[in-house]
Amino acid sequence: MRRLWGLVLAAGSAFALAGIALNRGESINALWLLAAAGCIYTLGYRWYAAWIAARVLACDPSRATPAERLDNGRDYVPTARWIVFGHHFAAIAGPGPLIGPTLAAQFGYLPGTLWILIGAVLGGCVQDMVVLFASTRRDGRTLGQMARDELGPVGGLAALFGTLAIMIILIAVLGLVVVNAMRHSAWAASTVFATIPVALLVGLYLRSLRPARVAEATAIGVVLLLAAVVGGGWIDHQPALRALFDLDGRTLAWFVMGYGFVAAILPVWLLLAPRDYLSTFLKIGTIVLLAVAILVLRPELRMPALTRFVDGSGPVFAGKLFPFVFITIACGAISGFHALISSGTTPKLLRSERDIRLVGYGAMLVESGVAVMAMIAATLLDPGVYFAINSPLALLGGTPDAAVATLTQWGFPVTAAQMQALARQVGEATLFARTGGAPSLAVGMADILAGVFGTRLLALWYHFAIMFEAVFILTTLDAGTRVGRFMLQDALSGLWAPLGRTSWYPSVVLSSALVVAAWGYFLYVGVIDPYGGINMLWPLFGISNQMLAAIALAVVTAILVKSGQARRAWISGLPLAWLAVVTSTAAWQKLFSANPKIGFLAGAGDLAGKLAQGALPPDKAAVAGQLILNQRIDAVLTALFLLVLWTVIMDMLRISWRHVQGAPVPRSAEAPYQRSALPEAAHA
Amino acid sequence: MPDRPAAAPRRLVRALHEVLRGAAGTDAYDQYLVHQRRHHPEAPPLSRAAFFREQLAARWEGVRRCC
Repeated sequence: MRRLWGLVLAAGSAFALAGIALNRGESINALWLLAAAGCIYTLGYRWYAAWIAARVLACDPSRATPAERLDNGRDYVPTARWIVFGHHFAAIAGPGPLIGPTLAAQFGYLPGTLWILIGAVLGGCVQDMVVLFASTRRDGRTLGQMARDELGPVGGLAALFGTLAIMIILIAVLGLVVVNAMRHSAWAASTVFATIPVALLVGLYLRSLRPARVAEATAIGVVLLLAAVVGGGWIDHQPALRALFDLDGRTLAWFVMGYGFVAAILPVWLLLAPRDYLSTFLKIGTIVLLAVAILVLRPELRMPALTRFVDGSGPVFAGKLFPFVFITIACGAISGFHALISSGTTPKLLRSERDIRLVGYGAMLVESGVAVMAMIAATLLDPGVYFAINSPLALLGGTPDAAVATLTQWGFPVTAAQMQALARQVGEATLFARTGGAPSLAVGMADILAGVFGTRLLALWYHFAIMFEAVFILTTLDAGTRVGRFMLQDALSGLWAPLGRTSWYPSVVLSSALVVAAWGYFLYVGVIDPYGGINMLWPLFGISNQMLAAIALAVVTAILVKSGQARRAWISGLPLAWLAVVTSTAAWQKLFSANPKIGFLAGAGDLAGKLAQGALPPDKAAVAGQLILNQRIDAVLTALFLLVLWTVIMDMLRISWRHVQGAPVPRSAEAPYQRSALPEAAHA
Repeated sequence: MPDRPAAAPRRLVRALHEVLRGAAGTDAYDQYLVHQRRHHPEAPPLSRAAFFREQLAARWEGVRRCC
């Protein structure tokens, strides 16, 4: 019976994929993508994940988990499997899988979708699951601790650097996305600003008015957030208020930096925690809403399967299909960041090792499904509209009229009148060059949701989508700044012990300011960059994220080899090899490509040459110095990422080789077996 | 003794409520009380507000949110 199901599913996914592949030239229904995804996910979960759990990891339901052994009623709590699944999914799902596919849609819907499906089933889900398993067997230790235990101090240091670096770049790029969504949009800016007092109010409610009544407070908060969306529309129609919130990029960048700093030094209960409740609720609610709406509406995808930009000349970001589609999709297929959640937090809740497959592998499948939905939302737009929203104006000729002419000439017809009408419908002044993915995703989501719930509300849906993205981008931003602060304080305590005290105010202020300055720098340069900054920062983020994934996969590969599974260590070794190839190629091209749009050094050289010749218009010449310096810093960072990546891989290979040869290696830190006393483990 | 038929939907609603509370994490304090009663019956448990405060501080020490 199981075999039969397998055949049906394999045939189903083959059929759906063939349907997608053969449908060249005419539009295809989004349902094909969803059908292919559903079949591939089921195959991956039912067979591959089950095989890994049983044969490679040997998950043992009779073995007591750390949650059971160390149960303290606080962070170690044995919890029902679907509830752990929910918490884990809420923690791993961020804005990444929404933005990455939106940008990667410039290659057409096919390459990105294929990587989202294949990368998740064979790479990302495996990473999350195996890291979860390894940490569960080690009392819930973090990735950094496991790297130090299993590889040695070099691996540990590399993991620490990787985590801090990805945090800085991630926050900068997310900040840029929010700034670009609010730039000269009074409605978006006032709505996003309003989310801050709403969060404060919820925090105070939970602290003083009705302590710890989270459900009530969240409900009130969500109603207020929806009111903020409507209120933003009202503000947009009041000329005086509109002028107050009509802000340029630089001002908004300073606001975002100020917000990040304040959120990092304020007590958690006041801003961070209440914002997190609201964002989690909105996130899950909106994802479910979007899934239902896509199923009801079954939109046609208007983007071709492949576009001419696979040759690397794309206006959204530069670079060929290989390796840049993999770097750009990032989180939707495999995300190194997830390894930080799968180790540390989630293992302390697992009731039984039996749940590792559902929580580790299953939650990432859902995340990958979110990425497919983002791809659908991006590709159902008219391609001309998609490119007009997502390309920097400077690349398309400088003015809206030149931009539509360039796009039409490239084969993606669009008119200025069409863009104007769309902007008016969604309540924005313009939709040209709103880079970063959020506005284009919001147009796509508004299109889907309005298609189901009525087109009169298009502007409301658009700003609801912007608010939804901004809320959880800001949650990642403030939580990330805070974590960065802790990591920095930990590192600084080596210099002078009091700097490590997490509640000593001078140290808190100093370390928070340093972290904000680090990401604020990249954000600010991104904002003043006439090419939009996203095309510079997102690849850097993708490379750092895939590097962290490679570190995580290297750690678990070493663990598998050391626990006598060398023959099956390919389950993490193969994705690792692929990531090493992709990340190294991308990093190499970003460093040394002679094309100034791709290579950081070539870009800096090109700009320096033009500046010396006086070939730049005055507004560009004014910022050229900063842009040149920034490209050089980006180049240094990329080189560091490459170095760290290969250090960890070499370390892993050294340990594995020594183990296979019988030479001494750091002892596996697995906690000894203890039989579970839970009733369901009795007959395991 | 079999339940009255009217009790079934109420039980369903109650079960659903429990699941939702678990998923939202709003039952953490009740879970903690159960744990304390079972394992440390001699020690007086923390108040709801104090437990909530302690849990918040502990929760936000590490990485909680992804990209």
